[in-house]
Amino acid sequence: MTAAQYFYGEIGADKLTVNDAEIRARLQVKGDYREVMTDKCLINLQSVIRCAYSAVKVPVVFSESSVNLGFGEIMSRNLAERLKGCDEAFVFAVTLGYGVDRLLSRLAVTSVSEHFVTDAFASALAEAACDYTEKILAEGLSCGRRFSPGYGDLPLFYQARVLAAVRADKTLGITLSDTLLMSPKKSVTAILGILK
Amino acid sequence: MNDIRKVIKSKRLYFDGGYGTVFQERGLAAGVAPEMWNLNAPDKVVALHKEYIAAGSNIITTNTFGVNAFKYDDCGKMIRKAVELAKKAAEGRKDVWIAFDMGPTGKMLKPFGDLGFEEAVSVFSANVKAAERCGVDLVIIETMNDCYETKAALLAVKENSSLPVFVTNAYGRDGKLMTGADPVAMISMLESMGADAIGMNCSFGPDAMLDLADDFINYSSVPVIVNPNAGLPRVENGKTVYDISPDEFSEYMARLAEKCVHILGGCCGTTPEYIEKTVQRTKGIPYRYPKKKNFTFVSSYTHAVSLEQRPVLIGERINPTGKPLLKEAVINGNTDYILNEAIRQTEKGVHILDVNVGVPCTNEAETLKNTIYAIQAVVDTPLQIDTSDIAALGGAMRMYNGKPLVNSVNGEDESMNAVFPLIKKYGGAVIALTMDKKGIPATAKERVRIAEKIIARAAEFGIEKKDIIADPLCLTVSADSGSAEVTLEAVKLLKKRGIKTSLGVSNISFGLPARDKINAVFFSLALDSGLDCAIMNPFSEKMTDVYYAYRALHGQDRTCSDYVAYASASVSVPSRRVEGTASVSGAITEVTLKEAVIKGLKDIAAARADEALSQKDPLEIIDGEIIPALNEVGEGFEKKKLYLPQLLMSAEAAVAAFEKIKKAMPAGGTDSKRCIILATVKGDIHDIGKNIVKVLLESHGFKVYDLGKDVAPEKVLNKVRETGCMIVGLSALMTTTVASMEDTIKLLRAECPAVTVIAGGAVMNDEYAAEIDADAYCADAMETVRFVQNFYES
Repeated sequence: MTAAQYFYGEIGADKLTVNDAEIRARLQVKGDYREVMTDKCLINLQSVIRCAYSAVKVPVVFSESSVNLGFGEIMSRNLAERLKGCDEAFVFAVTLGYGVDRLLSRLAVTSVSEHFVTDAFASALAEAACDYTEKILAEGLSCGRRFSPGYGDLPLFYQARVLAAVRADKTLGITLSDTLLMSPKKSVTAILGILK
Repeated sequence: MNDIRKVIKSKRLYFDGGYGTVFQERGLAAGVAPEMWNLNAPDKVVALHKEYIAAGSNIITTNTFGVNAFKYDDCGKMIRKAVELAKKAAEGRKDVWIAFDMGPTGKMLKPFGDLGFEEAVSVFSANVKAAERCGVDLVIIETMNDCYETKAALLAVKENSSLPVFVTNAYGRDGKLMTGADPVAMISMLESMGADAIGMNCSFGPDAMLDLADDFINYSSVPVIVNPNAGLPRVENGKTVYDISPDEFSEYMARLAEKCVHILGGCCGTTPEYIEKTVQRTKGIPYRYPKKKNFTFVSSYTHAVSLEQRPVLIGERINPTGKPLLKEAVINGNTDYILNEAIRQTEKGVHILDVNVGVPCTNEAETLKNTIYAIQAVVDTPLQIDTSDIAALGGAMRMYNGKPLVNSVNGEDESMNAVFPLIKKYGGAVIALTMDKKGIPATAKERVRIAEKIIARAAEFGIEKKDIIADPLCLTVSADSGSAEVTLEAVKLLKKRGIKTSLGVSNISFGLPARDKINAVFFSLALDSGLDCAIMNPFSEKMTDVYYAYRALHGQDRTCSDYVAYASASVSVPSRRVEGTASVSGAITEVTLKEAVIKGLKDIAAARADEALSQKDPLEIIDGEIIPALNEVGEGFEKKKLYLPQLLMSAEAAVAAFEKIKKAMPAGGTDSKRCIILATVKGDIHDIGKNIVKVLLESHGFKVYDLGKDVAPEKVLNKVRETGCMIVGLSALMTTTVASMEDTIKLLRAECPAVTVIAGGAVMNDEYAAEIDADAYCADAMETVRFVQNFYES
C-alpha cells in the first residue's frame, strides 16, 4: 500500500482576482459595478482573507454505478462520467478563513448593502481560490473539470468524507454543521480527475 | 507515580512524536482514523508507544486524538482500550507518564459553527471522566485551532477531574489560530483558568515555531510545550515526506531548549528517531523553570489587552443607567441596537467594552449571556462583565470567549466569597471597589487599605495580585469638594504599591452641567497620577482629546503616530454638522434629504432629517421627502434602471433619516400596527436575503420584528402571540432547510391559522411555496414591500 500524498499551501489575497462576469451576476448588476462603496468592501475583504488549500491525491476505482476514491463507494453517475479515463484524482478543499466570517457577521449588523456586496465578492473570491488551487495542483498534468458534492447527483452528504480525506479540520479548520454547511462559510471542496 | 507538576519544576520533559503519520507509513489506509488501530492493530500501537519510550519520551499520549461522541458511539470503550495499550507499553517505567490525548471535536462552535458551548463541554467531560477512571496521569488538550473550543475542553478537565492538564494550540504561519487568537491571548486565558503547561503543536516545523516561542517564554508563568511537525509535507517519488530531517529537527529543538522551552516533543511526520535525536541533542542544555510574570491581561478570542503599555480605555456605553434607548433595547431584546453601540465604541478606539444589561424585572442572567454572545460574534474587543447579580456573572464568565474583566468585587466578605471562586474557576481579572460594609472611606489611605485587604483575600483563593485592579472610587465633586483630590491621592498610593487602578471617570461630575468639561480635566489628572484604566464615554471628544494628547506628551506615543491618526480622523469624520462632510466632497452639502436618500448617502440623510425637524412636522418630512425618494428608487429598481446595491444604500439612508425623525415623533415612531415578523428558518444561517428585506421594509416605515437566523418554529409562533403581528416572512436558502420552513408553517397553521406567511429565499418559487402551504412567494425585497403594503391597505 502506498501512503497517501497530501498537499497544503497558502494563497496570498493578491493572487485572487474577481471574475467580472461572475461578480456582476452575484451583485445583479449589468454594467459597471465599481464605485466607492464596492471598492471599500473589496479592500476590507481582502485585508481579512487568509486563504489556504489542502489536497490529497487518490486512486480512482470504478465499479458499475459508483466510484471509489479510497474513502468508500460514492454513488454518483455524474462524478463517474466526470472522472472517466482517470486513474487518479485530486480531492481538495480551499477556504478564505474565519476572518471573512467575522467581517460578514459584523456587516450584517452595520450595513446591509455592504454585507450584500462583500458577501458577493467573498463568494467570487472563493471560486477564484478554487481556480488557483486547481492551477497549482494540475501543473504539468492534464486534468478534467472539477466536480463538487452538491453538484448533479452527488449528494451534499459526501462533504463530510471529502473533508475528512483532505484532513480539512486539521489543516484548514473547516468543519461541517449538522445541515452540511461548511465553516468558514467561504470554503469550497472539489474533486479533480487527472487524465493520463 | 510522581505528580508531573512537581517533576517539571526541576527537569525538562519530552513528549512523544506523531502517531497518525507513523501509522500511515506502517499501513494505515488514508481516510481511516488512527484510533481504529487500538481495536484493529493493538500490537502496532503498543509497539510505537514503546519505541517512543525507548527514544526518551517521558510522556506518552494515548491514541485517542479523534475519539469523541460526534464520531463514535462508545467512546468509553475506545478510551479504556487506548489507555490499556499505553499502560502496557509503559509497564514498569516509573519515569513515564500517560497523557490522555484530547483533540478537537471536528465541529466548530457557535457563532461560526453550530456546536453549542455547553454541548462541547459535555462531550469533552464524558471523555475526561472515562480517562480519569482508567488511571491516566494527565490530560493533554492538543491541536486546538479555536480559542472557544480550547476553553470548553479545559473547563471540562477542570470540572470533572483533578488531573494535571496541559494545553497546546495549532498556530498558523501568521502566528494565529484559525479563528484568530495569538499566543498572548491564549496564554492569558489558559493560565487564568489553571492550565499546568501550555504551548503549541502541529501546524509547521520547529523553525516556524522559534519566533512564536518567544511570546510563550516572555509571558507565560507556567511551563511551555513545543511539539512541532517535521516541517511541511512534500511528495517525493509518490511518497509523502516531511521536509525537516531528524538531525535538523533536533537542532531547532536545541534552540528552543536554549530559549527555555520546558517540554519538547513532536507532532505530524515526527518518528521515534526525531524524538531520540532531540533528547540526545538537548539533554546537556541547562534547565530553568519559568519565573512568575506580573503582567495584567484581559483577552478576547483574538487578542489580549495589556495594562502595562498604556492606559486602557473601557467603553461605558452599554449600560442602561440613564440611557433610555439602551434600556428599551434590553427590554425588547433589540440586540442590533446594542451591537451598534459596541461597534461604534470600538471604532472610537476603546480597548475593552463594559457590558451591563441590568434592568429591573428582566432576566438578567439570560440577557447578559445572549448579549455577550451577540457582541462576541461581531466585535473582538475584550469585554468587562458588569453585573451585581452573581448568578448572571457566573453564567456570563462561563460562556465568555477569552479572559474577561469582571466589574466588580468589593471589600465585603459576602462579595469576595461570591466573586473569587468564579474568577478562580473561569479565569479573569477583576475591578476591586475600595469600599466595604462601612461604605467608602473618606481618606485615600483607608481606600488603599481595603484594596490590600481584597488582594490578600484573593490570594487565599489562589488569585494573583496582578488580576486585581483597584478602583478607589470617585464621588461627585458637587457633593464634596475634596473628593477628586482624595481619589487622585489614592491612585498615586496604589500605583506606588504596584497595584493596578481603574476609575469610572464620569462619576466625578454627577449632578453638574456640561459634565464633559469637568470629566476631561479630571481624566487628565488621573492619568497623570498613574491611572491604568478608565471607564469612560468614548464619544466624548473632550475625553479622547485628553487621552491621545496625554499619551503624546508623556512619551507613550513615540512618534506621535497615534495622536496624528486620531487627530486626522476626528477632522474628517462628519460629526454633528454636515459641513464636516464637505471637506471630503464639496458638492455633497448641497443635496436635499430626498436626494441623499436617492443617492444612498446615509450620514447626510440623517443630518438633513435632523435639520428638517426644526422647520417641519415629522410626517411632512416622511411624506414629502423620504417616501417620494423611496418610490423613485423602488421604481428604478423594478424597471432595472437601478441595481440592488444602490437600492440597499438608499434604504439604509432612509432608515438613518427615520431614526432621527422617530425621536421627534410623540408615539416613539413607527406605527407598530404596520408590522411584520421575519426569520431565517431553523438550520439555515444565511441571512443576507432576510436582512435586505428587513432594511427595505424598515425604510418604508414598517415595524420589523427580526428573529435572526437559525430560528426554531416555536420561536416564530411565540413572537406572533406576543406581538399580535399577523404577517410573517420566512427565508431559506438551501433545499435542506426548506423542510424547516414547512415545519414552521405547519405549526403556525395549527396554532394561529389567521397568520399570513410569505416565503422567500434562493430555492423558493411559486410552486414550491404553494407546496409547503405558504400564502405567497416574493421573489425579491421590493416585491415583499409591495406585498406587505397591499396587505395593510386591503
